[in-house]
Amino acid sequence: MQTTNDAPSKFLNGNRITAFVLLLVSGNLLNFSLRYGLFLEDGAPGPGLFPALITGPLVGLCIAWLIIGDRGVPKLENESNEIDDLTAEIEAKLDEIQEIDSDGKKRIGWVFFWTIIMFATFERLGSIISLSIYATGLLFSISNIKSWKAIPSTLLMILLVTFGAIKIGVTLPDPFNLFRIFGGQ
Amino acid sequence: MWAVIGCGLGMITGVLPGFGPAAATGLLLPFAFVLPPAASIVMLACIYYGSMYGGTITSVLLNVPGEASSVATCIDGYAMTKRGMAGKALAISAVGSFIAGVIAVFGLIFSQKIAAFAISFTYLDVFGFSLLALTLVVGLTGDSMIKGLISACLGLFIGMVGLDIYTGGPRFTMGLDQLQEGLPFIAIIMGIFGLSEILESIGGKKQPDYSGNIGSTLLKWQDFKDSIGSILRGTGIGFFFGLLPGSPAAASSFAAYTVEKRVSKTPEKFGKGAIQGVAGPESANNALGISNFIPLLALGIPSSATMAILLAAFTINGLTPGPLLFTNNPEIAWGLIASLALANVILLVMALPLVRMWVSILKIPTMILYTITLSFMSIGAYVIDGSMFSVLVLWIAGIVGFTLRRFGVPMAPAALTIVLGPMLEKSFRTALQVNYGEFSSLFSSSRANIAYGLIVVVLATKMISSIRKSNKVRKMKSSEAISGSK
Repeated sequence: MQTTNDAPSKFLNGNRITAFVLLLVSGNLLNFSLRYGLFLEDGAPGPGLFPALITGPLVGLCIAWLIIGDRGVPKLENESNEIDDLTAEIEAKLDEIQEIDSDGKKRIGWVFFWTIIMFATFERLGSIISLSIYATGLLFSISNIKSWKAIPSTLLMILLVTFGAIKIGVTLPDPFNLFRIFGGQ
Repeated sequence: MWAVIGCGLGMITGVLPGFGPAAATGLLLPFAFVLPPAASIVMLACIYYGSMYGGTITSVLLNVPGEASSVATCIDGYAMTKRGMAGKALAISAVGSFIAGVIAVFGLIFSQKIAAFAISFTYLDVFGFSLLALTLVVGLTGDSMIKGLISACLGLFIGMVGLDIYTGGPRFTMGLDQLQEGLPFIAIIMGIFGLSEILESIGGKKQPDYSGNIGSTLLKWQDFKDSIGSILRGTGIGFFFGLLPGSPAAASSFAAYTVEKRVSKTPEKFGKGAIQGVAGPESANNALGISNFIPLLALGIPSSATMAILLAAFTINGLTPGPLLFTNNPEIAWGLIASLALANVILLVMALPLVRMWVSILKIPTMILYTITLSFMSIGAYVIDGSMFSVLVLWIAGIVGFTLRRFGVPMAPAALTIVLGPMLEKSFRTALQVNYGEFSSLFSSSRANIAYGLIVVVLATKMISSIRKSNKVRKMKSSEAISGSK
């Protein structure tokens, strides 16, 4: 039998940084919980009791994570067995922490950029225009889709979503009254 | 009508690579706001049910499981695809799921009997069993108990933001008026499950597309004869596992697979495209999906992250699942059971004749699907309270979920505790309030004491298992070191 440590070493600092940030947050929350008061004057549980019971152990868990870092429970590999190999291979797809290369980071960056644009325009320009800009921008920046395919796809999607939203009674921002085209108010 | 729409939407979202039933149900949870109570519950339940079969399609065709319970299907399902029998694999999955679902729905009817027993539960009993359900979350923590418990604590904390239920004072609102009603937990669930999954997929390597032909979906009589035993055994195994809150979904499908391999006269065929290797786990999955509803309907306790999301749907509609549901809202309870029975038929129709339509979704470039999903998510979050605040919460939750998942923190415990937390706090404080703050009163109910005893057993079992595994690893490492030095 063999043992393996399943965590790549490049995540070591990341684990500890995340654990430290969570420790600061949970410590702060524990402080607030205690300020809210654990018990009321008549002995009944106060607003801070239950939060303290949660954030207290959370502080302890974060300290434990900070100490352990990236050391997980090493996996045991069973003796070579075709089914177990297949299972391990498939399970790895579920468990694997996907490597994000520079292209992947760029794609995620573009998602955040267009999302900020959407936040800025959703209520000002209305859902149809905002989502059209959002979806077109995403299609151009994160996929290799050609413009003559991207733009009709986007518009079709926007129309379907808008029509569906109106049909089920959803109210979306529409400062320029574009919804009346689809029979909405 | 809503059952048909739900099954269809579930199939579409389930087909998205990497999307499991929890993410699919969470993604479409905003429907609970705009539809009448019965319609929203029925639709979401059918979305959950449909997404399970949608996940089967990616498991069989792409060897990409939607979630842990689909892993067993991948083994022989994908092997059948490589042998040009993808259509047969999908067909037996559909037939097996149908038979398992029909049998399991009869079992679901007995949830009323359990509810009748649980109707006499006091606040102490509710607290004890809610705490037990929380402890069973330990089963969802994966390899790292510490990270899983951190996820669970974060979920519990999220439920505490807002106005205190007894004093009415604000808690953790940071002076924001929008937080007085609490954090929009639907946006959070959509974020930690759906959005974080999409961000990971966008950043990661390209998911495989499927461009092949699935072949014939017609089953021969011999295929059915070979599989019927597997289907019935899988149904029994899955139904039993679904009753246990916190039992890992993968356990039932793997148990079914293992049983089929053991009883088979040709075990050497397993792993190479044995039809029983698909029929058994898929039937177990479906039966588990139905029996998962029993703890929710009868006791009001969600047994999995997806059931927690459905509990959220009940809450949004002002309903409380549990012992009183059959008494106060029988039309909801029986309507849900009837819709699940109907969903079996709908899915069989959708899965067999229309399977090529669902498979064609896999031919759409995934980035287009993700773009559509991101847009839809933002609309869905906006619908929650008609403001961009919920959309902001969605994205913050998505980024936090994505970051934590990168470091191995599972999100399933958080989803369960977000919903369980307020119930737990209410029963805890009420129990103490009526007893003037006496903690010893928590042990005054025999049923609650049984729950506490089970909690000790669960925690001890998990800790002993972890210690044994660590000791085994230590022994292995020292023997490797010794043999290496020789």
